[in-house]
Amino acid sequence: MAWYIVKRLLQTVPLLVGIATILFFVMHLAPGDPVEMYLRKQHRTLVTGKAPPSQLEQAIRHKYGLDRPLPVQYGMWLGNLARGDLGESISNRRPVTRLIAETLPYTLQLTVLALILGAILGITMGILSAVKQHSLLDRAVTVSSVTLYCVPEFWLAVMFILVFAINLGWFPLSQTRSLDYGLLPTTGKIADRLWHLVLPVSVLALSSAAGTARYMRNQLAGVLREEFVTAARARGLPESRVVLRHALRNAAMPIVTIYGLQLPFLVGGAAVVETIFAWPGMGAMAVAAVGDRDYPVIMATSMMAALLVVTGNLLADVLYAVVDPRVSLHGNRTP
Amino acid sequence: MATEPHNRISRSPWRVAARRFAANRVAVAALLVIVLLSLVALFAPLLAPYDPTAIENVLKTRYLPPSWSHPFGTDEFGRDLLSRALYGARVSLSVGVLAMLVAVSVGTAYGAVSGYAGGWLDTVMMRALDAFTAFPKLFLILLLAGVYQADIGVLILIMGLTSWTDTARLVRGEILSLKHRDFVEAARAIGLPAHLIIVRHLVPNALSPVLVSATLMVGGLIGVEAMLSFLGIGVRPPAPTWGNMIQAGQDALFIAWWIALFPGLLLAITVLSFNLVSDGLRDALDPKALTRRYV
Repeated sequence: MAWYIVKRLLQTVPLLVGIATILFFVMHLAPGDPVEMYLRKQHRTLVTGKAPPSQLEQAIRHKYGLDRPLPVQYGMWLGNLARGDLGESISNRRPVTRLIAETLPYTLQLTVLALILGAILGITMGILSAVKQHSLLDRAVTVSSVTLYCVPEFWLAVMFILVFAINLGWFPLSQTRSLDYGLLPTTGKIADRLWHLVLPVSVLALSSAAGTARYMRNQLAGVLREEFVTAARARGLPESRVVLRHALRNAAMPIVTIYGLQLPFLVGGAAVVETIFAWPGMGAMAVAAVGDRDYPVIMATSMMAALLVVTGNLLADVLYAVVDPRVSLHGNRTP
Repeated sequence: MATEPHNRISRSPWRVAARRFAANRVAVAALLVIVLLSLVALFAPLLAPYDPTAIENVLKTRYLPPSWSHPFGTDEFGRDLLSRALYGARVSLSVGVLAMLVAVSVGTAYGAVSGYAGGWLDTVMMRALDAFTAFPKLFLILLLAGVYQADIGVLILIMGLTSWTDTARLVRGEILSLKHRDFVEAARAIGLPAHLIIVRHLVPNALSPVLVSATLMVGGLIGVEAMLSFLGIGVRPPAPTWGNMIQAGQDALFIAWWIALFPGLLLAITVLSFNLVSDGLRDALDPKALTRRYV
């Protein structure tokens, strides 16, 4: 098992270097220049009305190495990346590692909670739906999961704000904590944080649950028709044991893969949801950085996103090996 | 697969599929919705009761709730939202369909070459595909669209060129299962060059799963375009899109709920319809599908 994990880990290294390379060139071949954007932004705040001095522009270019040839810049960036140095944000001049360290926990809070809640909800709904096939419950679950699956996350978020924050006033509009957060006792602080988490997490969790429920139902419904299930029933096992011990184990494997595949969408979706709820996460920072052409931040957040996804896939593969005895740990999967 | 009819009674697989699709009421209804939306998009200038970008007496016409004269209400500039939504359908559908065509073309070519070639080329191409898939797609589209300050053409290219991987995998799988069939061996035996075998014999026989996934993809891409417009990275105002209408609605959520509601409903219905048609096509085209699975 340990050897399998090490092997999979080693495989991810060239993958990440490949992603980094593609990312670097795609971003740097794009029109639009971070120095220009920065100077324009500074200019607007200073309201000088004069063109920025070209020496200043040159000095900034020199400082960030933007006057070097592209391959040299690439080598420098990759070298720094390998040492864990992600550079400095051009728009607010803070180290990118610090920015990531500040924002990543907020993104993880959202995505991990959404992933767990989405899995619980989706898998439960899928199981109930498959067991009581063609019942009223099954129809309700199917219709609502198909519909939810198609409702764009960002619109769902806006509608949740409209209904639950504005009309009903149950939950806050945005942000991670209330204004009087500092004055609250510890339990109040925790409650306040959770209260602010409800809406953004629900949006992400529901979208994720919809896909899972749909998939789980079809998988389990297929497995329940197989002969070994009939055999288990014939042996007089209680239905709950047949479903939970025999059928579910065989239906669970595709779900593990689905979770590996869902992760990229969750990371992307989190960026939108964070932006809507003014959540100070990595995704919202990336969206803002795109507007500023803040290359170091864009590159770093993209690499982090890719890293999250690669890690997720790795976990899915390892889990797959745990759940499915047919996966040979030394070779490849046997179909 | 596609054999010549022996007599009048035998029916082509496509005919059989069409019959099975027609029997699926949900899928047929969804297809009708799509046809209707396409007509609306095509004839938007004739159907729209007002000019979607005209700004007149703002103080009198702004933030009007839904009524008979403005069924979807008006926005902050007093523009009729129904008219804007009709024009928005043009952007959504054309971007979705064109980006899908880009993705399916690239994906089919990539998958066919990889699958037919086999060996080390196949391995290299599949590893590259894995690297590409490992990247969060939505994130990538967002960054590219933002950094390249995309106009609508570039946007279509970006969305298409980031969405081809599923098609490539699908086509490769089909080609792998087809390439040692007798009719392909026969084509090879009479000395047909590889590119012709791929184009004339393999790809046409791999098309039915591609059709299913392409339909699904259009729905997904329409959602992505709306998201980009919502974030202000996609198609820019004043051109109306469902995404930037929802964005405007979010800013006015306290005073005008209807601005964000209607374009979002249209968006959800459109994406849902493409999903249901895709499901219907899959059930109709898959001879192994014995039971109707959804709804």
